[in-house]
Amino acid sequence: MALPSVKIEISKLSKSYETKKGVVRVLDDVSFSVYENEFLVILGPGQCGKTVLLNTIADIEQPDSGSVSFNGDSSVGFVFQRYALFNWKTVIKNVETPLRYRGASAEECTATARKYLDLVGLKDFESAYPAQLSGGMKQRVAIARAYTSGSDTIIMDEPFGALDAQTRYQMEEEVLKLRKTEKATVIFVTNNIEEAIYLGDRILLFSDKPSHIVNEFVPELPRPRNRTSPEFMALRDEITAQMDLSL
Amino acid sequence: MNKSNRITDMLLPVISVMFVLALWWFASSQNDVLAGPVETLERFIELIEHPKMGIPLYVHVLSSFYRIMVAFIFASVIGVSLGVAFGVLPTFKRIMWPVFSILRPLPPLAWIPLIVLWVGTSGDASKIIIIFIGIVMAVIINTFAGISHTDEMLLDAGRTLGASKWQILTDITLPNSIPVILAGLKTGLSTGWMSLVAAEMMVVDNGIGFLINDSMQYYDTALDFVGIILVALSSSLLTLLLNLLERRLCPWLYLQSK
Ligand SMILES: Nc1ncnc2c1ncn2[C@@H]1O[C@H](COP(=O)(O)OP(=O)(O)O)[C@@H](O)[C@H]1O
Ligand SMILES: [Mg+2]
Repeated sequence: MALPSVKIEISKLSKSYETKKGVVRVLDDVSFSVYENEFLVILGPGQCGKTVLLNTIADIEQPDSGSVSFNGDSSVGFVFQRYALFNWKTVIKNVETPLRYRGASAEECTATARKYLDLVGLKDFESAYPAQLSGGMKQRVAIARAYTSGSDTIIMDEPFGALDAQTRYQMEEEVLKLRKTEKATVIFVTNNIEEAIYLGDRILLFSDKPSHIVNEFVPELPRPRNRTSPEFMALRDEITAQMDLSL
Repeated sequence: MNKSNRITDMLLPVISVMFVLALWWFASSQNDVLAGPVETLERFIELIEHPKMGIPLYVHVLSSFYRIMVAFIFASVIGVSLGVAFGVLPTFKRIMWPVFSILRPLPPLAWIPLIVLWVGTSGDASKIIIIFIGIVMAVIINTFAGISHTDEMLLDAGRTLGASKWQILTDITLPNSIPVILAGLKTGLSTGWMSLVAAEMMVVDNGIGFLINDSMQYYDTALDFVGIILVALSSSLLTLLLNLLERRLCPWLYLQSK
C-alpha cells in the first residue's frame, strides 16, 4: 500500500488570548499532519482550545505563530457546534448557499442541495425553516450544507455535543454513511471518548490548555465497530486513563 | 390556546376601550367645556356635511397620510442606508457618529424655523422634512444595531461557505437584521405621527394637525377629539400594514416551533 499523502500540514501553532485575568495560552506549539481522506478525530477536554484550533485551520482565526498549509484546495466545509444555520432561509436555501455564492445556476443549486438533503435523510423537509427542526435535524442540514460546498476537507466541531444519546448514535451512523459516498478528509472534534473510538481512523488526544498533543491512537477495530467489544472497551479505558493524567 | 381563552383575548380589548369611553363620558358630563363621545360623533358628522373653510374632511386625512408616507419612504431608504454605512464602514462611523449623536436627541420640531426659512411654509415640503427627521433616527439606530450585532458565528459560517464581503452583507447581515430594522420602522412611524401633528399645527394649511390646531383657537374640544381619533385610527392602520409586511418578509418569525 502506498504511503498516505498529506492533505494538511499543521506546524508549530501557538495562540494566546489577553483576558482580564491575564494572558491565557491556548495552543502550545501544536504540530500534526492530516492525511488525504482519513477520518481524524481530535479528542480533548472542554475549553482546551479545540474550537480555536479548528478555526485556525479554517482560516477563521489567525495563530500567533506557526502555519497551516494545505495540499491543493484549502477551502473547508465547516460544521459548527451551534449549527450556524440561516434562520431566514428554508432548509434547501441553507444547503444551496455555498453554490449560490459561487454563482452556480439555479438548477445546479437545487439539484446538488437535493442530493445532499437526500443523503442526510431530509428530503421531505426542504421547505421547512430551521426553527421548525429538532437539534439533530438542524445539524443534518448543517452537514449537508458543508458537503454541498464541494470542499474536499470537512471540519466538524463537536457537532453532536448538544444532542441526546439516541440521536447522537443516529448521527454518527449518518456521518459514517456519508464517508462511503463522499470522498473527503474529515476532521471531527469531540470530547466524548466513545464517539472518538467509534468514528476515528485516527485519534489525537489533546491536553487541557495550554493545549498540546498527548498521544495518538489508531483503533485497529473492524467496522461497524462494536461499542461493547472487549477491544473497544480496552481502548476506551486506555484513553480515559491518559486523559485523566493530562488534566 | 383553548376556546375560552380566545374569547377572553377578543373581549378584553373591547372591555378596556369601553371603559375609557365611559370615563371620557363621565368626565365630560361633569364639565361644560369638555366634549363627550356623543358630541364628538356629532361634530364628526357635522364636519363631513359642512367642511371647515371648504376643505372636506377626507382631504385633511389624505394630506396627512400623503406627508407621512412620503416621509416614511424617504426615511426608510435613507435610514437603512446610513445604518448600514455606520455598521460596515468604520471610518465613516468614526467621522459621522459624533454628529449623529448630537442630532439624534433633538426634537424634530426644533428644526421648524430653519426649514421654513429654507423651503417656505406653503406646500408639503416643510412638513415632510420634519416628519422625515422624526422617523429617520430610529431607523438608523436600529439598522446599525442589527448590522453590528450579527452573531459572529453566522459571519464565520458565511466566510467558510465562500461568501464575498458583499454577499456577507446582502445575504447574511441584512436579512438577519430585518426584524430589528422593521422594529425601527415601527418606532419611527410613531415618532413620525407625533412630528406630523406638531408640524401641521405650526405650519398651518390643512391636515389632521391643522384641525387640532383649529380646535384650540375656538375651544372646540369636540374637534380636538375628532383629530385625536383620526390620528389614532390612521396610525393603527399604518402599523397594521407594517405588521402585514413583516409577516410577508419574515415568515420564519411566525412559525410554530417543533
Ligand atoms: N476570542 C477569544 N478571546 C479570549 N479567549 C478566548 C477566545 N477564544 C477562545 N478563548 C479561550 O480559549 C480557550 C479554549 O476555547 P475553545 O477553543 O472554545 O475550547 P474548546 O476546546 O471547548 O472548543 C477558552 O478558555 C476560551 O476562554
Ligand atoms: Mg469548542
